[in-house]
Amino acid sequence: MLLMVLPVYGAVGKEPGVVRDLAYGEALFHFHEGDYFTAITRLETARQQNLLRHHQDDARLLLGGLYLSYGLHEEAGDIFARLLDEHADAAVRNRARLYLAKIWYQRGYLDRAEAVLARMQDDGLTPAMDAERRLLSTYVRMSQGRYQEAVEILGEWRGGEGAGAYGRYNLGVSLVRSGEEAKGFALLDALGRMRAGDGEMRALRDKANLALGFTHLQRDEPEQARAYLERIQLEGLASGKALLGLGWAESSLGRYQEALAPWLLLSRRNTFDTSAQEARLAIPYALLQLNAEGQAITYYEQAIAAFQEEARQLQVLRQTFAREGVAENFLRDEEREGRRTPGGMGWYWRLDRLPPGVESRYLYELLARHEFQEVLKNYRDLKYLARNLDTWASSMGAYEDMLALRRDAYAARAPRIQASYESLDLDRVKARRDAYVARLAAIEARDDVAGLATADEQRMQQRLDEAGAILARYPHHGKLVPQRDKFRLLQGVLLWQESQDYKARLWQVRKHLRQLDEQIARAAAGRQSIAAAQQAAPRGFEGFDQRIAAHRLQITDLQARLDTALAAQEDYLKRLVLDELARRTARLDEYLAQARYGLARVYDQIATRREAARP
Amino acid sequence: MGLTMRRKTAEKKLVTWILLLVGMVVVMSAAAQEPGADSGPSDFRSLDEEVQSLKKDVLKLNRELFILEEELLFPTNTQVAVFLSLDSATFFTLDSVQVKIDDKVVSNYLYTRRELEALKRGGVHRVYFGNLRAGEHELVAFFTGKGPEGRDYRRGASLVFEKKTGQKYIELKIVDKESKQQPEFVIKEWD
Repeated sequence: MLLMVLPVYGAVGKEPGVVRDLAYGEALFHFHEGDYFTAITRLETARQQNLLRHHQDDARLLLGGLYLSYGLHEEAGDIFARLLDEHADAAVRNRARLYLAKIWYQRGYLDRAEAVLARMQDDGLTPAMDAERRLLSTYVRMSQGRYQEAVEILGEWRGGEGAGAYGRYNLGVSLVRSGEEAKGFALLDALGRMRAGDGEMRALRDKANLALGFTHLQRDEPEQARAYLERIQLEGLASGKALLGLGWAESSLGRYQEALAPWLLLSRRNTFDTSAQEARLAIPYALLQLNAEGQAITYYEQAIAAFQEEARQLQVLRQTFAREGVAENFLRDEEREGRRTPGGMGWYWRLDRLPPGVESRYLYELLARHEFQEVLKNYRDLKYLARNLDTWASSMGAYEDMLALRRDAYAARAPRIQASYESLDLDRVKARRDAYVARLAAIEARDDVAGLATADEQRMQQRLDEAGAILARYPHHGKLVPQRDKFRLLQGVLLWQESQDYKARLWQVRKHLRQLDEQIARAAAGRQSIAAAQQAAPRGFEGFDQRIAAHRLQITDLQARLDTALAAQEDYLKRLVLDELARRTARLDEYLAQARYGLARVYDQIATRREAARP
Repeated sequence: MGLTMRRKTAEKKLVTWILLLVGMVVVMSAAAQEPGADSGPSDFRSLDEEVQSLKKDVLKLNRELFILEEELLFPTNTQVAVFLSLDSATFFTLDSVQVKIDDKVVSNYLYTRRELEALKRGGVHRVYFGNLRAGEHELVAFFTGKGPEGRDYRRGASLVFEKKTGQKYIELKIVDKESKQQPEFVIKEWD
């Protein structure tokens, strides 16, 4: 999935060095962590709350890629189409066109996909984007039956070993099927001889050779078939079918001894493998051609025993799946090992490992099928969504309780707070404050340093005033001269001290007055806010109540729809699996019948011969 | 002669069947490679369409519920979020971060390798989401990890901030200080 989204996201030309919107960075965190569901939620929420001012295009590209990855074509298409309308940058436009083309192709609008692809410009196309464009163009034409044009697109393309090779393979097979065998053979033959750099390409090369080999076998051209089948690796996925085909090619040429070698090798492999089962039937057939009747009997008997055991296991398995279901059986392993990605969903998720147990070996071919994987993935996605809704459903209950608690707490506290604010006589406080301001202004106007005297200084002044009054009563008393001197000195000291601290005291008083102003303003705001809260709170509670109630209904509705959809997916999967097992059983029954018939024929031949030899 | 004919017929039948099987494999690989080309039956398509429609509806509801939860649990007037981001971080590999607000531990987060990778690619992690009263608060963050030359490294950074009536977002940034060849831990307030 990352590979799918990253190119879209990379269209803006950078991995974000500096994130300028935290909400975008947060969505990126979840995206890179692999939690795509949360990434979508955060991006959508941030867009709704207008929190993506600096990363609007980045966020849209990322969201478009994520929508596309979840199969939400309509939403993704809207985003890319709008980007095309608004963006002049060639790289962004190319990227948007490529993904729009994918969307149209996926939805079956082949003409639209072709038109969008045709408008892509070569400038600024990365090799990876170019490969995707060519491959998509090829598939669009293949879907329209325009094979010649598809051949031309791929023919002139030299780059992109991996994607190009798959394109050629699919095209080659389509050409053979449509009757244009020569062209198809040429493409497949080139693939069958290519130098493969890795395991994936070697497997593709094997598949091309296998397709060619069996096509020639079908046309009764065993020599050509053998040439292709011999190119296939012995250890690869195609080796079983290749060995079987090789045996048939030799057998068709009457070289039964040579045919036995690949079939014997194959028969020693897993008994559930269809090719190995067929080899078990083919061996006694070849032995009979070599007149080794005794050995043929042994191999027929071994084959019958193996087929019976397989049929028994298949029967058990069919009963198990019919009883226990399919999807949970396949996802149990992933669940147990905790291999679920944090996001839990993903358009490009595939079951990449078979669950342990007997069932998987019978179903590995089914598992490789697109349809099976799609339905299983949908089931897995729906389970994730169901868990998500279950969590929300339980949260709704908690939120309702929380709201009820808040409402009760509010009802209990609001009158107390209101009463305490009402007991505060703000007008009286303001009047006192005004009086202080006026007094301070008068002190400043007269530079009345004593006006800001401390309590000690005021007491001292009072005592000096009393002493001064006494001295004033005896203005000419000679014995009081020292006291008069001391009085003047102390008076001077007090005045000096008050003058010295006057500025600092003035600043301090002004500061206190400012603080008083702030407190009065806060108290006034508090009173207003209480009044506003008293009006708004019930509305707020009610608003949340209504939203929670509405969401509860939506959750219940979606849960029911999810349950229905999950059951439908499970039914579909069960049908696929049981059909597959039934097909295998029918095939096995046919093999068993053939083996029994073959064995009977051998005994019949021996008996006839003995009868004829009897005198 | 009859037996030979029957054998030939059986042989042909087998080959035909195998060719059908190969054909199926071919179809399979084509489908696996073509982006999303589903060629399944109509009930598969209608099932798939229902799933997509469900996904769309659940995503929409999930978004609404997410917003409801935020508004309910973290009202704007008290909401505080602390984020963590890495800018380059050549000199420091983060193991964990501890966030304290007003001397109370509000978050202890240990990063997984996947999360570190997400941070390195521009992701921003919300370490803490909570509520605070309006007024002055102190945030202290401790970063633990491996410093230059793989040594254990623990550093703190602090910020005194004013919580007003709107949302408050704070970002803890780990950046490289090239001149000192050391990591630097910066706390940034967002408006």
